[in-house]
Amino acid sequence: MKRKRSDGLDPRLKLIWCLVLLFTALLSSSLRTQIIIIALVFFTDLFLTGSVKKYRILLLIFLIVASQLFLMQLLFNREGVVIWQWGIIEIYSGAMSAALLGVLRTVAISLSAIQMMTWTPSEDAVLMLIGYRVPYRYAMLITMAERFLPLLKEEYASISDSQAVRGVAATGLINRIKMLPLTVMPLIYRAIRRTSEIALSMELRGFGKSETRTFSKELCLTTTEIICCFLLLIAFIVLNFYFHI
Amino acid sequence: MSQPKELTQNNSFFRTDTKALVGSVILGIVFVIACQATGFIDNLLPTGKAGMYLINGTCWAFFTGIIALLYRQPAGLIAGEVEAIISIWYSPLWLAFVFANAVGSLGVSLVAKRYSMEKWSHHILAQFFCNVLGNAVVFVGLIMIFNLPVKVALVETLIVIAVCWPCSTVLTKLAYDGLSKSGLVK
Amino acid sequence: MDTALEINIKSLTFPGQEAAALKDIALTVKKGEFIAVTGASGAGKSLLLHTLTGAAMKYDGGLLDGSVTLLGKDIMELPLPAICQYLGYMFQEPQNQIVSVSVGEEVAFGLANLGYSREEIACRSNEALSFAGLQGLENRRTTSLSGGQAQRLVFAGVLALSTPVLVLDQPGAELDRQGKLKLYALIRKIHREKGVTVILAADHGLNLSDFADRVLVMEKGTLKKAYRGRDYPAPPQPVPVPYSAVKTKETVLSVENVSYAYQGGVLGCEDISFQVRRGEFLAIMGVNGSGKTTLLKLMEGLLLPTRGKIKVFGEVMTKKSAFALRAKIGFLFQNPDLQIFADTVKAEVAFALKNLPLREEEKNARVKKVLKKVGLAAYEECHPQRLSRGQRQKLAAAAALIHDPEIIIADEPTAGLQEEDCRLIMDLLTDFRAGGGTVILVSHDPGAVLAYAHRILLLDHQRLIADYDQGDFGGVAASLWQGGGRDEEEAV
Repeated sequence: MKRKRSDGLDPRLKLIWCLVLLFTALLSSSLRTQIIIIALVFFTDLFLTGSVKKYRILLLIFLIVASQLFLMQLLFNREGVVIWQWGIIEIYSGAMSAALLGVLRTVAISLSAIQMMTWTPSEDAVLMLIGYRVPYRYAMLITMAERFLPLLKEEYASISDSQAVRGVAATGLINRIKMLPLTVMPLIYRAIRRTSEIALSMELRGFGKSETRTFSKELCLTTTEIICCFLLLIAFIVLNFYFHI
Repeated sequence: MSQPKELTQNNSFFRTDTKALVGSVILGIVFVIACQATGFIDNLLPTGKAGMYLINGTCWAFFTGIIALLYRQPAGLIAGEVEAIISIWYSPLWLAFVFANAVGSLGVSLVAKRYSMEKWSHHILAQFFCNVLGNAVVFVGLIMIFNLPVKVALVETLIVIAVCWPCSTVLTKLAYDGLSKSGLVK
Repeated sequence: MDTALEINIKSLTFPGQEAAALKDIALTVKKGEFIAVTGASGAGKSLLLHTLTGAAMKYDGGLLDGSVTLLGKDIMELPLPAICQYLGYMFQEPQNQIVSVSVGEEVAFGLANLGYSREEIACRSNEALSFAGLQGLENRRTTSLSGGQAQRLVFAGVLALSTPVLVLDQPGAELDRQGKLKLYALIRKIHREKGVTVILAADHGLNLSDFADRVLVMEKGTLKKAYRGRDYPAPPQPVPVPYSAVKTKETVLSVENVSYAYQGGVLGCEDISFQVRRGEFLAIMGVNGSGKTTLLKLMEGLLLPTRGKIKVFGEVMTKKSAFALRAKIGFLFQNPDLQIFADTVKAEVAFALKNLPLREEEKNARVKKVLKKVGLAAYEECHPQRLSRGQRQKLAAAAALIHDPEIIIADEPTAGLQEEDCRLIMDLLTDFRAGGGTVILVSHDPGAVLAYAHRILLLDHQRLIADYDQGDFGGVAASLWQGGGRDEEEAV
């Protein structure tokens, strides 16, 4: 697989970058700041990975959330003056900007987190946690999540298929709700059986024998990365608490 | 003669054996899959369109409860965080879930430490804490992230608690009894 | 010291159970010996192996009266994670033993837990991967491996630990015959070349006299018989059960020039045509990736052909008609756990009758009848998850049979089962056919297919390449039985 520029960066630097963007989005009520954060995510991704295609699948979710937020704000927001009235429904001037801020903040927070997730291989995340003194028995659960997520998703699809061919109708809202216990319970039973075997297999290969373990690589923050971390933190404090962007 | 930790730590708050840790991740993933499925259904319902995820909320409380009951802590917390982190891909409220899943799970564990979880009343209490604490955090998230008016967020939160608390209590009790009968968990 | 294991089990009991799960087992295993343990389902083979690792006591809560000594050390004195310095353990399902994302990390998992240096880990991992025929795959994701590769990766992970004793619990149970033979060849090689002591619960259908020094037969939790390896009889090559010719000409299912392409253009199957007559026992065979699963999903109506059509009782399978057509078909899956959800055996079977206009008494009578037929009458109120794997497969068969289907489509129904359970499932299908039903079996178990089917369809490269009647089996039987044909990895 082609190595990307983001692969060479220490996960701690990536984490600080993500947290700075995320908390700035949370603290700021400026539409401009939210747009800048979203733009920063796209630009850095283009520069470091060469693509922003991964964000496409979020479009539908953002559209659903945006429609919900606009609906709620238009119906219930009471800031500003009444700009439109029909019977008991009143729309206030503050509704649009409040909804827009909600949508942009949601997008900014989600994108910055997804950027961190896609930039950081699970092995690096494990090493980062170990660097923060998390015992390896706990830290390594991150790689396990990455390993078993596709497997269990596939299993869920197989369970849904097998229940469907058994004659359980899967179309329509009521049928979908009825089908939930028929698909979720076998998955829970399977998961518990699986858990038992996986844990035994791990213990019989020495998992948990000692306090420490050998990993295939070590993390090392370069001087430039340390400086970048400091600069990011200073920028975060100055922009949010001095300039109140 | 040595016994597995799950047999000796029956009513304890903590369980740190490998099975509990692995179980937290595996059931955490099942939690994610179930939340995705229920979220999809909620989006088709009028309540979901208004931002109240009732089926999803029930599913959330059910899994938060059942995992904490089966594998205790820190497994409940780990499973909750697995769900919260993966939900970055499908739920813009993921940041609130990071905290909501944690407090919901701790609420259930506190009740499970005190009671045997054999009676309906135990599950009613556990799910009360789970739903109220978890949804209180989501309430903050609705205001901070979605920028919703406080009154709207409050009404939504109260409706979600009112529906999800009884539903998740029934589901958790039935599933917990079923799992105990199955012999898969001791 | 020549002894690898000294086993003296007076009894092994589990809390809440009166009867001992294992009893009166005294056995000495010499260093470098190859011991195969065999016996029917529930005889206690896996439990015996679990006891050798200490897991039966330390993990499952069993109470041991007696002792197990591994290379001079009392097993109860060794913590479970320390066992891997002396004994390597591997069981059936590879997907439940692989915990890393990449092949390289997985093979190094045990070594890294034991704290070896990076250089040592790299050296031993490469050697183990190369031995298992997986060299060059270090950076591959574990999810992309075929079943055979995954099991060999697990084996490589155990080999990398360089333990003097290997304990293997039906390591080939989830593999097709080719994969199984390949894995057993590796086990023999490591035994011969490195003098490793091997104790394995043997998969069925293998000639144990080829490699075992001793064969131990277990029954009801104890050792019933012991053979010298060379004296143990080889399994007979399956002989087709003679059957009365299919008299009717009625076509119950027809596949007409069917092709299917997945998203992105990946071919699922291409231009497949065949017809199934009422009363036939048809088997569809082919290695993984040959198109069996796609064809099966098409027949189930889960996928719709991109070209051609599938007709069930003359009606074309469409999205709309699929639901009604499935009512005439019973489905039996490879893994019964994909469908079992209820709290009792009875409720699980009765679920299929939920939508039928029958009175409660009629439903109960039907449930009782079908449970009796599959040998689960005594387990009516039992939780399905308390049943053994073989019993759960019988339960799934009962659920498939209860609504009196006209066709049964069975997808690898004997995979991972013991010989006795396999026979029971296949006998159920044969009885169903004898009663006027039609059976379509998708399988990679040549033993079951050659013995029971009347007709075999062979798939390769997503195409139908051969259609044999029972009279023509002679030509293909030997090749299938010896694991001939294209390798699964080529197909993947």
